[in-house]
Amino acid sequence: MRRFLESLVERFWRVSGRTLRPTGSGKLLLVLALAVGFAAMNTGNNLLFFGWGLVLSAIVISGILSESTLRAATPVPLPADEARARSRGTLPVMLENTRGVPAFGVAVSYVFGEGQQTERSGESFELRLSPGARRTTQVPWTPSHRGLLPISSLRVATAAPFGFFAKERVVDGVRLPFGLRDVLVLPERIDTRALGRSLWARLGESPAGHAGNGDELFSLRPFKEGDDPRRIAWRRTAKTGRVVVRENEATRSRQLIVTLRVGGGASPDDVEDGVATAASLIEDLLDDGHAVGVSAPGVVIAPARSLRQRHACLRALALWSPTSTPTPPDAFAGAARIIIPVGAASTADADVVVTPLQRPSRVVAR
Amino acid sequence: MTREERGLGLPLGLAHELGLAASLLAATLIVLLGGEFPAWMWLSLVAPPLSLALRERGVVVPAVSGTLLALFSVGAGVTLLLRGGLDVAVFAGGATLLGLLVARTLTRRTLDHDQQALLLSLILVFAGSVLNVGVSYIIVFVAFAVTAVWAMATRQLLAGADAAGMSIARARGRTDVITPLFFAASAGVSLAVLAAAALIFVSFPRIGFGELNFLGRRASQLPTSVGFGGNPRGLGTSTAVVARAAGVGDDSFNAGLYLRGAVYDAITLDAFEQTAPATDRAEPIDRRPMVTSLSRGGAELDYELTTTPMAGTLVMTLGYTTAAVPLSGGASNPNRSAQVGGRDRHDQLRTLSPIASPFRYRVRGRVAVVSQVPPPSPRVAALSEEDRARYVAVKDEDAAIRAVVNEALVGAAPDATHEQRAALLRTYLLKRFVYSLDGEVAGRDAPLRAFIVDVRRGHCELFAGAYALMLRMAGVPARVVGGFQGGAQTDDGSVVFQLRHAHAWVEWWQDGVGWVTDDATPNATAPRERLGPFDALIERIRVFWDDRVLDFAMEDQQSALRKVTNKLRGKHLGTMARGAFAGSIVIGLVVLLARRLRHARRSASRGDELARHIVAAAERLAGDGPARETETVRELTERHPHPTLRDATALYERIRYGGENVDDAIVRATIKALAALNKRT
Repeated sequence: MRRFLESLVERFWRVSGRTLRPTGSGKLLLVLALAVGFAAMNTGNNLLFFGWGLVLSAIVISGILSESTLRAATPVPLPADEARARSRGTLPVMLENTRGVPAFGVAVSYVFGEGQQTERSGESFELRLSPGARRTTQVPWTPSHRGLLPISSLRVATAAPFGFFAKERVVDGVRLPFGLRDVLVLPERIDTRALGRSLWARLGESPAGHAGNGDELFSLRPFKEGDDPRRIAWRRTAKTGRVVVRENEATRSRQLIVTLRVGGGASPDDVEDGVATAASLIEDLLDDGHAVGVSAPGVVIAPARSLRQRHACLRALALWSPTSTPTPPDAFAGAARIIIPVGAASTADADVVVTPLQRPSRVVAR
Repeated sequence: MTREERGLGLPLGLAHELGLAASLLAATLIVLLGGEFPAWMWLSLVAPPLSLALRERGVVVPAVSGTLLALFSVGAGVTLLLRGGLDVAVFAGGATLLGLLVARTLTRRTLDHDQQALLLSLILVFAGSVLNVGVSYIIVFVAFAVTAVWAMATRQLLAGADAAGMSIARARGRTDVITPLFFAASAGVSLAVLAAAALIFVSFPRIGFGELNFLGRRASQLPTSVGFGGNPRGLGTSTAVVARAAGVGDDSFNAGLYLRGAVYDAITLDAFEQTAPATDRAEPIDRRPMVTSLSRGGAELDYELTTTPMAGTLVMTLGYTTAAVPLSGGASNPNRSAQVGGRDRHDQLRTLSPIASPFRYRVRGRVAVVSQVPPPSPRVAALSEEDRARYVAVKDEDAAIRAVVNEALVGAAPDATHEQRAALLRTYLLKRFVYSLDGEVAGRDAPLRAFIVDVRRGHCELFAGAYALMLRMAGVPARVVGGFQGGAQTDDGSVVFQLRHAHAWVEWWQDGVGWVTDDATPNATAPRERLGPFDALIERIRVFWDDRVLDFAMEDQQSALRKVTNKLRGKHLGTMARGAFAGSIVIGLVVLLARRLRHARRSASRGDELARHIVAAAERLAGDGPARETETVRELTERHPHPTLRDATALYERIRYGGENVDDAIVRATIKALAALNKRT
């Protein structure tokens, strides 16, 4: 019976697009209203009817004014900056007062997902929104996990004017502008800068196979007009009696492929550690100016160095799931393979094996 | 603070503090103005402004002091309840609440504390509806409603900012919130709340289930003993109304009206007292016209009295009474009225239970004229021996007083009647004594003796005590009566008795005639008072308050409803109703049509604007010149598939053809995204 009533109430509020709950003082006020009403009717005290009327009318007018505030304030989500899992960030939202009266005490929040997977952001608060005003505000949010989170709704809430009831208006996600209906949450950030530099130091640069500005000797050739006299190989010149110059071999930066490989016995936390490690490593290596790509089941991105490459790799890892179909081995000749094994994954073809680092949130949780 | 946040209004924090202090002051004042609490409790008015000043200076009162004060208040309330029983339940509760409110006000630090203080003040206002039933209640109630709305609204803004993690100091400093518009809006909300409260007051049916006397006010305020050494009860300028008399006539008023209160049968040199309680004699409860032993002197007429609940079960009258019929009021439930139960040993009417609200009743009887002795009548009951002995008893025989009595009765025949002796004694007092409020006998031993023998200057209580004692010494049964004398006449001829009209006089017994009202106080013959214009206005407001608000019962609601329906019936109710019904339908249709037209026009213009941008974006994407004129937006989009174009088209179709009311902000964002499309995307 209780469940039936609760479902009825939920259905009512869902249809009306509103939620309403009394605050602590609101509950007290309701009890007071009942008690005073009972006392007034029992004693016939006319002045108690005045007081009772005051309480009842305050409740009704509070409802009218809060509804007016909710209707006036229209939220529109704005393109979000980079959101990282488990990192405190903000989501921009534009709040507009579409009516001719000011709105007071308006709070906006995002709701992501549905049902059991629902996640809610913090609230941004506007003390006053003038008629016709448009204000961009930041909603605090700490995403719980990576991925493409659909915005199921925006919630505009107010407890104005008296703070007895918290009323909320639901702006359905399907009514939001396209392109702004999802928020991409990138994998959790781990500081892998030191790791990246040590990896680069190990893997270093590779010979290019032609003359250039490297340090290694490539060939000796006869001196030509215009050659730098400091490059003359004097010993060979003395030996052969002909002036020869040293040519060094050119080097090229090695391309790197960060490979995420999942084997048996990997727990979801281990997988997330692996993803976070891979994403952070890619980010740091790209920041250091190296050409990096990513490979994982269902994901292959050739090495490159650009901002777009960073976005593409991080996005791919944000959306990646262990159930993705395996991809045929990639063919990036000359690229160094950095394998991040999760569980009992094979690392035979690795140039370097990087053990997944624990995410900060996992460390804190422990 | 940004430039946007700096406005010309009041800082939000200060506005909240001012509103809170004002509402707490109003709530405290509501209960204090009822007059039930002792004078020292008025100090609690200091708490709200003091708290405001301390907050502004950043001074924090230790929480322990508030805890101690709260515990003391609760203890005091419980003690009062245990001593006084349920009769003082509301008084004890009010005192406790007042203490708790002061404690919370002084020690508040957070917004939650402010909310607690506001809720406490609201409960105190409810207690005030029992402790203060005067006109001042509604005036302060309105002030409370206005300031409480303000305080709650500003508090909520600060609480919301705090909950959202905003800097509370910054929120308090915002001056762009409390602007003249906010003042106006808050005032409007307050008026709406008050209007709705008034509507509920008028329309909610009075279905009181019965009498709950423990919520009533305290009963009799008439003293059972009056000392000669203190100030007279009527001293001061208190204009609190005690009773109103209507229909007494100008002659009676000009002759001087005497509203009988408590009767005192014992007279000593220090005080006059009520030794035998008025109601200890078991009189049958009889509401039929009754014969009393009061003198029939004066005009007999039907008049109306309305008395405030200050005399317990006593029904005050202006003299000999044959019948009394309750009209309304008297009970705590306005749907009921007090019932007159019978008469007491002093020939006064009594109700069955203490009068708890203004009591209106019709009296048939004679209005006593001072010193007028009517002819004897066989219908007057004889004085019993017990009563005769009581009323001639002289407890403190004094030779000096006896000498004064003898001097006053010089020339009286040994068989002089009571009337003759009373006349001589009265004349002696009027000629040889002076009315004075100087209080010269205060602090002296046996003040009545000092007054009679020595000082010969004093107020009405001394004159009444002296006259009664001297009459007793002259062998005339006499007693002192405390009540109200004279009154002030209003524009409509009714007479108002106020606290400042308190007076004491004498009744002496004449066989065959009964108790004769007499007065030896020189001031009693002062010119009659008429209320000035301002006082008359105040009186009209009080009458309206007592009749239309305090006494508003279901009968009044039904009567008002009948008046309205009769008026409408007289004006062809059916036609009017039909006309109103038709008119409302027409107006409704016009409004609906206007809204549809406006919506359609708006949809069309918005839809057209969106279509233009879709077409422009598609042309840019295609890069092959303008779209064909006959091509629809949908066809154009299908030629150049792009997610943005597709979604924009869906939105356009929802607005243009679906008639959907999409927010302007969404349309603008869509147009912006379309504008960003070019061949490279």
